[in-house]
Amino acid sequence: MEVDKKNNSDWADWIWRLFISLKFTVLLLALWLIFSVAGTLVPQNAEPGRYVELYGPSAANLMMRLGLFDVFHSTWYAVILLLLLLSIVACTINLLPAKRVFAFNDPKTRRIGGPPKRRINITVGNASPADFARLTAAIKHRFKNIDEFSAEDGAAAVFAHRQSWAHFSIVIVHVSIVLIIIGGVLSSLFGFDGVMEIENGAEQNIVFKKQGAQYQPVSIGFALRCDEFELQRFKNGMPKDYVSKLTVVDNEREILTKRIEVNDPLFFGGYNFYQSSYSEMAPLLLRAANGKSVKVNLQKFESRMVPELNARVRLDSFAAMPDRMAAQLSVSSMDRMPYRISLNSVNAKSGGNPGDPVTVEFYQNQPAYQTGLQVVSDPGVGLVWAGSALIMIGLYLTFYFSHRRILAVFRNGAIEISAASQRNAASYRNEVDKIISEAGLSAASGKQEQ
Amino acid sequence: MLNNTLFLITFYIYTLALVFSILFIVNKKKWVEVSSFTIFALGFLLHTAALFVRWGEAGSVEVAAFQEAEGRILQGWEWFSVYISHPPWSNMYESLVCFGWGMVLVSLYGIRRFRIPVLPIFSIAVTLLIMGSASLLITKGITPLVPALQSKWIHLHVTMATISYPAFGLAAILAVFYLLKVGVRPQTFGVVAAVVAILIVMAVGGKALLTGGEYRLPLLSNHAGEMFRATYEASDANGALLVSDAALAWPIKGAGAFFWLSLLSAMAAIAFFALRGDKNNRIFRGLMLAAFAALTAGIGAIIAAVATGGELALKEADIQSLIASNHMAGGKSLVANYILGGTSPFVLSIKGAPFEFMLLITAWVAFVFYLALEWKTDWLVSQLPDADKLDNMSYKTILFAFPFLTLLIITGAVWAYYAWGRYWGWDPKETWSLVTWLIYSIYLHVRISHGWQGRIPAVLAALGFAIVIFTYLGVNILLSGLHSYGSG
Repeated sequence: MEVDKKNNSDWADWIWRLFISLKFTVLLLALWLIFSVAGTLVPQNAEPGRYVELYGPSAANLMMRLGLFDVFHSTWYAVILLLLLLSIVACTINLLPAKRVFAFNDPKTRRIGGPPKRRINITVGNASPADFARLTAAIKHRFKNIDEFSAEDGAAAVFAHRQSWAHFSIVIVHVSIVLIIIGGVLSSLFGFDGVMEIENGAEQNIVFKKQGAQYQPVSIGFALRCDEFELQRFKNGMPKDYVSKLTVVDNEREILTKRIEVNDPLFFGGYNFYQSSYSEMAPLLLRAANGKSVKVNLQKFESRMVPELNARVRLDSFAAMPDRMAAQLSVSSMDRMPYRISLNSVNAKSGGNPGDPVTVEFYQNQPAYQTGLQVVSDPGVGLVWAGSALIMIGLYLTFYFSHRRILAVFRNGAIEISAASQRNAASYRNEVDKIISEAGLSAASGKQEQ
Repeated sequence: MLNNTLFLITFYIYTLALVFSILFIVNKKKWVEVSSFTIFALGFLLHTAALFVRWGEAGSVEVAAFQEAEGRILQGWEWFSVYISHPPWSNMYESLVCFGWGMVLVSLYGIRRFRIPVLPIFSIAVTLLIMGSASLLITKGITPLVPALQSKWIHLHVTMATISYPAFGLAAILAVFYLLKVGVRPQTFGVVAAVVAILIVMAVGGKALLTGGEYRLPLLSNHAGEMFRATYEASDANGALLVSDAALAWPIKGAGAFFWLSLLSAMAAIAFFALRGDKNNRIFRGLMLAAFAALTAGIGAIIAAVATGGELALKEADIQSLIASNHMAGGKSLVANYILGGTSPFVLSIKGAPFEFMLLITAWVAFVFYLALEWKTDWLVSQLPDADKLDNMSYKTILFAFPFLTLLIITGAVWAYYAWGRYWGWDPKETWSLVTWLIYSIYLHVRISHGWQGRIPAVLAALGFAIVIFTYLGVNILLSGLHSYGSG
């Protein structure tokens, strides 16, 4: 029906005009800014108790509904970015025709184009054909695209321009922003971030994937074996570098081996494995009264059930220094009350009394290590890098290049010059003045309008 | 070390340049103007030399550490590559002196290019605030780089900051000039100064100021995003370990009263500003002067009380457990000495909380700026070029700085990707760098719209630099995150 059609097109028109409007862009940028700031002032992804503590139960509830506890993955944030993307696309489509006219049409029709207010108009009176020839030569010095022609009334004219493509440089910038945002969304939706701990010498195929504030164990398709972990220290004890030699094992087959260190990851199967940390464990050899012995590496406060010895062992404290180690354990077994064992690597290498169900000793003089890896899979990163490179190119082109054109017509003993620059009118004005003086002419000899 | 001495001398040279630039305002002689510029430039040369000296001294530290760790002597190319591996931009002190260096470079260029007679004073003042903050830091020493900083990308990343941040500072100064030129009244700047001062006094003085009427100088930290509870290790006379995680604070009652007065005067001033009218303007001026005087007295009271050994609030009950922290590595021995008797408490309290003290100084400088404006409005405005030209200068400066800001963020992301496995983690530093980029994007877009040209972009340009400073320093001090190691 007629009325409905009109309403629909009114709506569409209104939406289109909203998205191509500068004010809408500025509003979206401002909202993006405000929400981002909020995300730094409100702790993100913390325990609910913390929020109640900070803001009180009712305010905390409200803030949670508003998505302020995980701002950057909240619906609001996504909506703002989506609207911004649409706005960029709409603005670009809207301005493309005008840019095409500037870049392709105007040079063909030898039009100076642009707002009349920004045009440079200079008339050089009392000019001779020789003057015009010198002016043309001066123009030729500075412009590669020259078009010497006759106007409709037969007057000699020359049109020159350069860098007409510069009208599109801002399009490159905006397209690159789109790429970066899409890349970011891909990373956010499909990216994978987790930690993996592998004991020195052991294999591991479980990654603890980070979900908000929790970690979920996830199996990757293959296993990583830590062949060797090396901790390099400075003299003052501060760590200098951690290095792990890792081997990828798939179906019992060794695929590849790489030594990774901080800043130098292993890439396999779509995952990046970064050397991020390590833990020190007590290297313990547990001996049962019946002679059975089991090697166990424990982290501080870790408790382990050792079925072969019918006992549970807990490492209560562990200290490792460059030249010695000390540990305290609690042992509980079926046959006896829980008891404590202390040992250190200097003068009490083994702990426990002969009658104890389980005695303990260090099986080596240094701690056992466990390498800590950060595991990342990020399908969006390629787009983000592409967008980043493109935006730098786009910004460089936008800020340092502009479309400049000049038209000179020799008519009735005077040279009429008009010129315009896409950007930086003041410096182009200087250039035009220089062209005129190079031709031995004086702009002051004629009328000047700006 | 030699580099610290050189930086200190540089600070004094810049102070001398400031003196000459103020003198020029007074007597307007050409030779004074030239002297001011020359001294500023000479300071810059020394500043550059000091950076190289520090680079070399850091290199020696790295070589020594490497040799100790590896148990062998380095030679030839290997020695050289370790020697240059620690350029002077890996901790807060170094990044501040680099920022100062960039500010001078940009200022020297801006002074020559734009030829605004009153620009030097502002540029040199900002430079001095930066170098002053650096000089108050305790941790000026050189320690070997931690693994996370051993990356090639840090150099490009920091270079981008060194170029872009000062340029945004210059653009902000020019934007303020623009606002002055188009007739924004000094009272408006006064209100901004008053608001800034109120926020600073409340943030720095804290709850104790408002509830106890007592000004306490807490020490700051960024561990777990909480206010620093000065934590350090010391042994008492019997060798027993003393540990505490209490706030090391000096209750300075006299200062409290002054800050209260300053706070109230400033608030009253804002109220009278809102009321408009000539009479109210005069009352506004009077109240601002009172606020300024009270603030001066308050800062003076802190310095006096603490320099003469003011009361130390570290009660026995407070001293329970002292935990060494990297952040206070340099302060550790200072505090320990103080507990056992020795170091000047002035050094301890001011140097232990340099940013708080610098914030108070910034509030004070904001008042000075406003008062100078009130007193010399017409003359200042007459010294400035046309408003259009100022707008253009500010715009061009931001155009220059913006791509470097973009590259700063990108190199940060690349570095993060290789060091931490993700290019963007929404940590406060990264997010605020995006906020900085967004404010200048808004600036660039707003300028296109005819209805919004003129004052709005100028305000955005000034606000933008405040955001730059927050991104650079505020995040480290007030918020927490992966970048916190950069404050050491």
